[in-house]
Amino acid sequence: MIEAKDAIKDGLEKIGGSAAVSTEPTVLERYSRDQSFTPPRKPNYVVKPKKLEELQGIIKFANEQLMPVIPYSSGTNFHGGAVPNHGGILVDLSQMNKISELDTYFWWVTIEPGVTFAQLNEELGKRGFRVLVPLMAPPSASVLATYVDREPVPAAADFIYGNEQLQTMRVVLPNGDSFTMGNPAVEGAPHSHIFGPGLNFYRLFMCSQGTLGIVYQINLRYIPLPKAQKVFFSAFDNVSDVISAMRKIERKELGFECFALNNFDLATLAVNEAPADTKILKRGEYVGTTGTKPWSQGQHQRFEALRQALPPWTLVLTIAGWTRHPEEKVEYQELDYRDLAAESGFEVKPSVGGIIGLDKLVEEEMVLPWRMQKRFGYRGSCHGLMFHATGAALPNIENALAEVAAKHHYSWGDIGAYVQPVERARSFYCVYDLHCDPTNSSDVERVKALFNEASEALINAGAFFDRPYGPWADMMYRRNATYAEYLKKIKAQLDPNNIMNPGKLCF
Amino acid sequence: MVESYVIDALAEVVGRDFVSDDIVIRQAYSRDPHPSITVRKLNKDPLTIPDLIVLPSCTEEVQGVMRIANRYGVNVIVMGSGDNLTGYCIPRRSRTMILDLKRMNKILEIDEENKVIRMQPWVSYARVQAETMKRGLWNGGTPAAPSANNLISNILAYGGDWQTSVAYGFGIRGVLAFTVVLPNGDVVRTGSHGINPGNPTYWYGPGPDLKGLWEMGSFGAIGVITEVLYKLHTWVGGEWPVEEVYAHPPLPKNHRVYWFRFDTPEQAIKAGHEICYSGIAIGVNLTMKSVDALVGESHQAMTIKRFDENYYEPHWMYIMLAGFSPRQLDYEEKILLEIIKEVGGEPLDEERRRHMDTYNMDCFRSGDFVRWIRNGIYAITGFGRGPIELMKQVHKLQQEVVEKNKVPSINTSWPWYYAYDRGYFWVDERDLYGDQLDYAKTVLPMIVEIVRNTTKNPSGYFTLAEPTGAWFGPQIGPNFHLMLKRMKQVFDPKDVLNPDALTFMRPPEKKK
Amino acid sequence: MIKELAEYRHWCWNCFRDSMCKHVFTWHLRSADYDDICPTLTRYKFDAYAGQGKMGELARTIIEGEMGWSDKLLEVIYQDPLCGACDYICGRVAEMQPAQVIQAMRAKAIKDGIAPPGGFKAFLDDLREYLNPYRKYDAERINWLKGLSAELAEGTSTEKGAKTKTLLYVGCFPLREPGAQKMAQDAVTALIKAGVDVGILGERERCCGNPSLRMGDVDSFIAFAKENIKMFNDMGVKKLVTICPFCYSTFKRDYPDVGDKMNFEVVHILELVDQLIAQGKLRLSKPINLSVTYHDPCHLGRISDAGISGTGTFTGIYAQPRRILSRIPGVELVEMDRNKDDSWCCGAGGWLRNGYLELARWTADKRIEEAEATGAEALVTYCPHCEENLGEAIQRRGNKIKIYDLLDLVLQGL
Repeated sequence: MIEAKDAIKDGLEKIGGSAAVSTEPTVLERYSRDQSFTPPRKPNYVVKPKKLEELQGIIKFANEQLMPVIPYSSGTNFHGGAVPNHGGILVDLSQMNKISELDTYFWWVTIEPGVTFAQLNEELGKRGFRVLVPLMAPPSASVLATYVDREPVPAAADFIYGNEQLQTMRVVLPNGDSFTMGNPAVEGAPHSHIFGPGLNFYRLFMCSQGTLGIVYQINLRYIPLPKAQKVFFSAFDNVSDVISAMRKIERKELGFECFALNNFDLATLAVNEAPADTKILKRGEYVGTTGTKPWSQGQHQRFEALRQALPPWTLVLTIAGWTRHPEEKVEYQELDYRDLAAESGFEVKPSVGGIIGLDKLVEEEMVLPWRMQKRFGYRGSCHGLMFHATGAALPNIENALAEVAAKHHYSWGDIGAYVQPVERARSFYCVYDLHCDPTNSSDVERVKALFNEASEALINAGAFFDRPYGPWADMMYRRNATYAEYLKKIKAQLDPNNIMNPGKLCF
Repeated sequence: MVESYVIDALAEVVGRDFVSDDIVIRQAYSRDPHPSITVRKLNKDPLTIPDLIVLPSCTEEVQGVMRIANRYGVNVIVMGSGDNLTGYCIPRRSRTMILDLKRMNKILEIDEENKVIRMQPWVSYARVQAETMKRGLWNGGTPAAPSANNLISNILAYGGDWQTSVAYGFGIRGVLAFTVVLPNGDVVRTGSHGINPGNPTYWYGPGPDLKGLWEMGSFGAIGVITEVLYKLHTWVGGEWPVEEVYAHPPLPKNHRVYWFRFDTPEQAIKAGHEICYSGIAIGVNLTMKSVDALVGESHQAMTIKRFDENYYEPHWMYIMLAGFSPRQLDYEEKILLEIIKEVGGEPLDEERRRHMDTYNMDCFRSGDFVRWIRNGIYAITGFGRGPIELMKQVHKLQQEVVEKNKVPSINTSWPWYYAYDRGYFWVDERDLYGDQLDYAKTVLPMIVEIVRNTTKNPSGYFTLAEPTGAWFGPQIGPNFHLMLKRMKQVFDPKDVLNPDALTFMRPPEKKK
Repeated sequence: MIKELAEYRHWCWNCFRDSMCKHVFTWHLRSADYDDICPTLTRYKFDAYAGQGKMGELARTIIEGEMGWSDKLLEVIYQDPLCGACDYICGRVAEMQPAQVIQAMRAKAIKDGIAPPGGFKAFLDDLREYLNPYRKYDAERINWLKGLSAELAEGTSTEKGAKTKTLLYVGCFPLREPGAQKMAQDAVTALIKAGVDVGILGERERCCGNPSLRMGDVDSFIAFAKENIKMFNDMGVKKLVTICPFCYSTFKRDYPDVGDKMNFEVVHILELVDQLIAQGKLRLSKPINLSVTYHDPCHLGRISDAGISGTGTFTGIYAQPRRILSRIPGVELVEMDRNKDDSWCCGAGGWLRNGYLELARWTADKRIEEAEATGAEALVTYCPHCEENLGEAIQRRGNKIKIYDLLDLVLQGL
């Protein structure tokens, strides 16, 4: 049989070489899904460019062919962001993984999408530095994609150490041109800020899921590893009290990382995993495209014991000293924190639930988190409701969630929760996880229905899903139709052929 | 000339009292102190005089005005205080209306719990502070510019470089949400404010964020901001010390301002870097001799005398500390003094430090600071942003131009730096002083040359000059201009909003 | 010398548009509600009505010949109480004084043969005829003396005035209407009770020239000034004590510009009364239980001195009235947000009631609202023009707050 000529495959191979292009069914299958509720859809081609010129070539070519382009960096999105809607060319950026311009005087580094947290923090760690990492991000996550996606880090309380550590962003526009944002829009200029040129275009490309262009390089700020550090834990009965404490802490701008976990999530963090899983967890490969292997009975038992020992909520605050007199900084901040806690009526302890070494565990997680991946193993898949809320709204949001969960016969105790202040507790970033067994279709249907209904209920109660994956897109954009209309106009200007990850957001 | 039926329609929207085409009223909007405008006025350029002045009072009125302007092709320049120093609020085309937002000066809400202020656009820094400081909050700083100017315009124009940018970032970082009126009358609200007006939950998106398009550098050319949600930070200074002894005002509580001198720029730079990277301080700034001489003296004659005598020296630095606790202040002071000693700097002597007492209050809320523009041109030749080490190259290029020309200038030494974002210095404007009438024609080509030189310089350059589109030259690449035009096409397809300020959509209008 | 408009050319071109003239001085701002300081800009909103508009643009266009006289131009430059707020702030930060430029524009209009607009035309005509702003004859200048007791009348006399070194300059305000005479009577009463040897000029008194100056009739003003200076010098006056703040600021600030040597010191009666109380010559022992707020007349403050506020060379009379109030037992002072240099004009400045009564009233209304917001029972001030305009506002609006003349309160407390 003569194989039918595939002009598109030929065209792609001309750009990056035949090894870079795949149409193998198993490969396409792998890229067709992630563990979210997003229906699997296969791309037609998977391409792995190694450099900018190849990426540009792919996009230009795709435009000529009117083929969709779906960017994929590390597959750790877990919310369907990289699942193709209309087939097309899936661009796996993992081979564009250079670290460059690492400057230890100005504390910046330039990276491509394939650079992972593990890779970057190892490189920086040798020199005494680290980038900030979201607690839920696996080590294999793309640093670039995570930052461009606006996922808050545990130190998001400080204005700059939240999502705003970007200094330069370069994007390939849908026409294949490269566009630089930030100071280096003037060639050779240093990476001192991301504003401009002219307008703050960079915000347009953040959280855009590749629909307006593919970000292929960012310059990122990093910070020193702490030279002295302490971690403190405080127990609370409910999320209102947590919020209240966080507000007080942030009014005094105390500490560095600040976040809270409910007993489910803290137990997940602290529970010992099966020894065989440790390496996989540390590599960030714990969660596959269909979820993960559920925990063993032993792990469940250990988890349950821990959970019972833990308070409903635990607030974690790290105090760190970096450059000069770090111990003195930690000392005075600890005293200030204890004064605040005493005034406010809560206790500050070196651990909770009797867990030994919890502070050291947290210190490790702040540099390169890996333990929260375990949550996927509770039932096999995990579906996070990731939103922002004001402190006042959060209790009502919890009530709304509890109501919907009860309606779907989902136990409140099976919901993991993470809350952290953003921007000095001006807002709170929350992740409430629902768990289901991906191999059990009725469980999937139940939790999916719960997830969708809960999302609407949460929005009505004040939750803001700023990263509108999956069903959230319609829910959010129909509530701000004018905003969506102008996003579409911009899309029409930048991507008139609608090739960039079509079907995502409001496009 | 704008037709009477257009004027009548506008009067229906805002009220007859708030529309004027009288030449006497229009003249007051025809000039700002940029030398290019002075030259246009000396040449009696009639295009400087707008055709209409309109004062709306709320979003709905702005919508009404914009729909009319869009329909009848009347250019609209949106004006806050009009003190951008670069001519952006002075018309370049006929058939131009100034939309003066002065009536939109209300603070709508101060949300103490979430630390957000919601306000109309014509609210000054001073007003924001007057209302928030008594609640233990503040906006985070003041530019070295009149705090009587409205906060959001200052930020939209410059990015909002404050003396406290090392801790709070540029003023842009404080913007949480906008309400924007587009020429077709559409109202876009960003972030959670878009889902529920006034809701301060979150400030980006959903998804791609549009706020960035308006928050800096848009010059009113892609939308009219009619409402802002802005960040507030904890203020530990207690009640603002309104005292009647003006010459040596007290500092707010729990704040300290230190003045240091250095013999060489290298020492000052090193100290600045070390202080920033040590994580202390809310303000790290290197001043310039001329500004110190202006602000430190109430009379120009003394300013010039003391400048010439080098009583005010080139390499001074002022550092602002704010303490949430006495322990913090003590810790930070220890670090600060240690760094200064290491690099070989020293505290300013008491006599000269007292001259800077007014400056200390100006660090938080500028008042007497406005002396810095006393009796002369204040010509911004642009801002460079980047590590201070590279700003020296910018300074060198600027200096070459100044020395080549023969404009008497008291700014012949080190430019002015603010630290921002915990570590990056920012070359402030290159100030050229001299009487407007005597020197505008000489200074203008100097500014052009300085800007053109420095835009080639790898320090990066965020320019402010008139007109914008021309300054962002080929070194930024064709995509940039294309992107600007695309945004213009999306938001203002008929190019009525401040035409030419952002990009050129049509050929310039020639003088008749 | 009194400068002509063209001499302000560089000031006009150097106006920076910093908006400082439009607001309370930023260091002194206490609340967003009381941020406005320019009455005409606050009322009419267009920038032409601010110091920036008038000095930076309108004056400039007249000087450069870009714009000729028009009804609107005259309206804008005359519809202004010349309260000096822009002078004080712009003077402080830029060493420029927009109100001086506005005056110079008015002077140019008059010199160009243009009549002032609105009611000011008749006002100026009357001024030139009667040589005082109230259409009264000089013989009526002593009518206020009739209200004094015989004992007090003996304590002062025009004969005494002819020989005294301390001359009490009464001013024209008692001519306004009989009710206005009490202020002059109270001034004399206070001084005599304190044992101060005071002389007055009686019918020989001439207008200080303030209304002529404000209307732009500089020639008439100079004539008044020269005549008065000569008279006081010839009389050997060493200290000229004024009552009306308009007179005070004119003698203090504007007379030196005329160029003739003044052999006398100009003081305001409140300075004297303050000293007399401190010396024990006026004993305040009768309690007056009253919460008050004090309105600083512009002409006792920022427009009375050409120095720069905040430098130590500026000598606004702010401390003295407050000290006086603090010495009256039972009086509790609650300050308005806009006080001292930042005082909001009462609206009567620049003889605005004669030209633009509506603006004068609107301005007064704003001040009364501010006074009421303090919760004080009474508004105290010391200026016949402020008292007239603010008093009329209270009556017109039916406000509960009372208005008191400061010396009236002092006399009640003796």
